[in-house]
Amino acid sequence: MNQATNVDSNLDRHRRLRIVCIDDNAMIASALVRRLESDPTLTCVQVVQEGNASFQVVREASPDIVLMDVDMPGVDTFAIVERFASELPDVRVIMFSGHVNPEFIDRALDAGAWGYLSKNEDVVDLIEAIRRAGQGEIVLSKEAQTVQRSALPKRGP
Amino acid sequence: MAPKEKVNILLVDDQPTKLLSLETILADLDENVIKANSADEALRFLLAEECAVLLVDVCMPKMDGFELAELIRTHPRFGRTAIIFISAVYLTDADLLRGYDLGAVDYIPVPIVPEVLKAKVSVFAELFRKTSELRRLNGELERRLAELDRSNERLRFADRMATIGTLAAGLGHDMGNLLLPVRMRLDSLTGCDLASEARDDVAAIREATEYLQRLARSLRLLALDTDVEHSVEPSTNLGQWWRETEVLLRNAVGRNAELAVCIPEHLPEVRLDKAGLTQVVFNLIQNAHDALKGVADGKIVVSAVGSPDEQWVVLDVADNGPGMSEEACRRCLEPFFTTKTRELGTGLGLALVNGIIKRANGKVYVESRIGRGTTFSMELPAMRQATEAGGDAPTGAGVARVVLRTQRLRAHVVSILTGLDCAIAVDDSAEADLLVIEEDGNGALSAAGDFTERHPHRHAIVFSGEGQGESAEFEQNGQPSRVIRLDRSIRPSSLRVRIGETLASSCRGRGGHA
Ligand SMILES: Nc1ncnc2c1ncn2[C@@H]1O[C@H](COP(=O)(O)OP(=O)(O)O)[C@@H](O)[C@H]1O
Ligand SMILES: [Mg+2]
Repeated sequence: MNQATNVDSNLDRHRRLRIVCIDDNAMIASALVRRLESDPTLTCVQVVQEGNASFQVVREASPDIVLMDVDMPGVDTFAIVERFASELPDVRVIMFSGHVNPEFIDRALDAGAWGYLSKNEDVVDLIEAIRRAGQGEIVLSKEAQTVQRSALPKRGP
Repeated sequence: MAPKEKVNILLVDDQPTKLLSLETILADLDENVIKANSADEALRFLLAEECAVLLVDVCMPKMDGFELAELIRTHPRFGRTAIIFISAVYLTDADLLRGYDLGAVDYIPVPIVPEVLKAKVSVFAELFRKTSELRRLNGELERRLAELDRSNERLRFADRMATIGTLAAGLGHDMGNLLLPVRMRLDSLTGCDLASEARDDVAAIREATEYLQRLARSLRLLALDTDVEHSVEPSTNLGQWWRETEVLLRNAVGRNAELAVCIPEHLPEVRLDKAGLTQVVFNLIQNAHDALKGVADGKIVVSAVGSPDEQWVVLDVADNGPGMSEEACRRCLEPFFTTKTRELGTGLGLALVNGIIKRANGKVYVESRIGRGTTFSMELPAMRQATEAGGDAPTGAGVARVVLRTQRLRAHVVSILTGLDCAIAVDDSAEADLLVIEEDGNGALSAAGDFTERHPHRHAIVFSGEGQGESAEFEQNGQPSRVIRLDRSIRPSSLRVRIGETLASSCRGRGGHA
């Protein structure tokens, strides 16, 4: 992919990418923190385990990236992403989930997400995708790409 | 009332005149009356048709009435025929009738009183009709019951499948979710400075985790219609797939059986992802391997042939093992059906195979003979050949030149084009099929016009200011415009559709990727 013209003025390449993780599952959230912190180019500034509280936290932390679980009980995560996109446009939200289907991916991107990642992806690829989103790319995990490909609308000849 | 069904009444007498008078008397009853001149003729008729009543003259040459009756009674087929003897002798001797089932045997003395004859015959005819109806109803009832049984069984099976599907999908998702922190922590550990023993531990845990992840995936796949799983390329070249998975599959066979493979090079691709295919064949080979334990010249053959019309590819996994019982053949695709011990079998293998193949719109067939072996055949839909793929988006097609300043828009366009296997041209010297440009006072619109004019079939997409509606196309010398104008704020899902369409028409125009 051509990145030569990706001028990202918001981001100083020598500073760590600041990430907020939103996931109701404590085990996933804490493992994410540990993994992100072990990478010299990334840092996890906040963890939120409750969807509704996340807006406040994100506004205050003002991270580069928000990694947001799609399926959290009792919250419309797509609506939250939409709010992030309109009120905090500098924050790039990546949604991630164990469910990868075309509807979810479209809803996430239409809501303003910068990507859709599968929880079944290789950890290395996951981290790499977060980094690429930081550089201004829309990121879809392998699973999500294939899903999109197979869900191409049918057209007449 | 429905018209009564006529029954047969057979008259047997050697004298035609007597037959005629009997026939006349019985005409009132409105049944089928058949006349026979001898016991022989009567028997011939009885062999062909069922009779409600047999009226027989006791005194006939060759075979008399009693002899005929005897013959008839010993034959179970005629068991329902009532017999009425006509006798000139007054039959006081009850002995004559004793050998018979009295209910269905009677006699009429000569001279015949027409009313008595009619009364007796009609009683037997009615009895015959009633029993026939009863038998029919009984048969119907049995048929209905069997049908009910069958649909009940199907219902139970479908129910079980649905429950298992939901259960499996849920379990698969939860397992996958919880494996994520495990994998992440393992990944963190890999970066740490570990003693060599600890490194071995980590490697072992990683291996086990990978296995669990595959298992979680199979569980999710077992669900027939919960979350749609399209997680991998839905088209597979069998030859290439075999080269990639041969090691894994040969490992499943071990040393005690031979594995032969016959996959021709030029088969059409099948509409099934590699991982699914591997799972299917792995399970079938594993089953064959289990079946071949203790068989001296165990052999497993994996083979594929294409149907002449190239619509299907049939993939066979055959073994020369002990075969399967009729019940096993019928039930082997059911989840949890197994004939193996707890440690060896889960009974889920073939259910999974069936699920994967069904999802790919294929079919699984089992053919097995005791002592000879078993063949599992899978009919898989073939991919349409590239030459017929007229309406589909081009795959591996096209070059697009992208001149966009809005970063987010650019990111989406690049992601979409990449997803369509379209290359992005870095500078304007490259020959592009599609120009994607953004209006910002730079004359983008006229650049797009120039581009489409210079290249007669190519298209350009021009993004312009927000808030002027999602898209507008305008006419160019009566032709639909090849300059597509889109609003910058277009939703990514619509953008993907528009880009797909536009790229497809551009590439079709070029002719190379029709
Ligand atoms: N190649 C084969 N030869 C004989 N029997 C077979 C073969 N494949 C499957 N079966 C029968 O079908 C049953 C179900 O198979 P499967 O669903 O894979 O479950 P499992 O292997 O765990 O028992 C097996 O227990 C076995 O009885
Ligand atoms: Mg098995």
